[in-house]
Amino acid sequence: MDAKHEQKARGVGRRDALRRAAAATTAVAAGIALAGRPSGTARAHNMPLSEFQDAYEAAVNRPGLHYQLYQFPNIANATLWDNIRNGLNGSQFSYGEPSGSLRVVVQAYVTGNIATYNDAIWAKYQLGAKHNVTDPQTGQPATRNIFYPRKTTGGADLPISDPQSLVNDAGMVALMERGVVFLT
Amino acid sequence: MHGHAGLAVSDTRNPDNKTATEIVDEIMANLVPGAIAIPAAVFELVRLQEMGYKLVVNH
Repeated sequence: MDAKHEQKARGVGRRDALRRAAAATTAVAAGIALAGRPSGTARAHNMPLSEFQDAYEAAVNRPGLHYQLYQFPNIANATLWDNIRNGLNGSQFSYGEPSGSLRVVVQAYVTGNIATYNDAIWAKYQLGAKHNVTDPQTGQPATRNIFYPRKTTGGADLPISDPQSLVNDAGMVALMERGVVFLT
Repeated sequence: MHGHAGLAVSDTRNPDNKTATEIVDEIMANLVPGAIAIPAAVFELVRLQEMGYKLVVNH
C-alpha cells in the first residue's frame, strides 16, 4: 500500500474510533434509560459476546481504503456473487488500488444464511429442495453447498484475462481468499 | 438459522428427530470454514454502516 493509501486507511481508522466513542456514549445513555426494562431476549439474540466478538472484530476492523456491505437475505439473488467479484476487480484493475484495500462484508440472513452452511447440512436437511437451489452438476435439487467451492483453478497471480484466475472466481472460497467476510 | 431449524422440524426434514434448538447447535457446528456467526444480522447492517461500511444496492 503506498503512502497516500496508508494515510487514507489511517484516516478511516480515526473516524471509526470517534464513531465508536460517540456510540459508546449513546449506549451508556440508553442503558440508563432502559435500565428498568425486563430482559426478554430470545435465544437467537443472546449469543454471548465471547462466542463471536474476537473473530468478528478482527474481520470487520481491518484497515482499507473502501468499505462495502452487502445485504444478503435471499439465496435466490444470484447477482450477489458477481457483484462482489466485480467490485473487487473494479477497485484493483480499473482504479489500480492495492489488492485487499476494498473491504467487503456480506451479511447473510433469512434464506441467505444457507450459503454459510456446509455440505453435511445441505444434504441432511434437503436445503436445495426446500429453497429451490439446483445443482448445476446434476440438474437436481442441490444436496451440497454450490455457492462455496472454487469455480476456477488458478491463483491471483494469473492475469484477469485468464478465465482460471482467482480474480474471475465468484465462489465463496475465492472471495474469502480475497478478504471478503461472510457473517451469518 | 433458527428459522431454518424450526422449518426442518415442522416440515419433517428432520431425520434424527432433533429439536429446533439441537438443529441450531448442529448448524453452528457445520458452518463453512471462514463464516462468522453473529447474534443479530439485521442489527449488524446498522452497526457496520455506522462503522463506515457503505451498503451496496444489490438487486
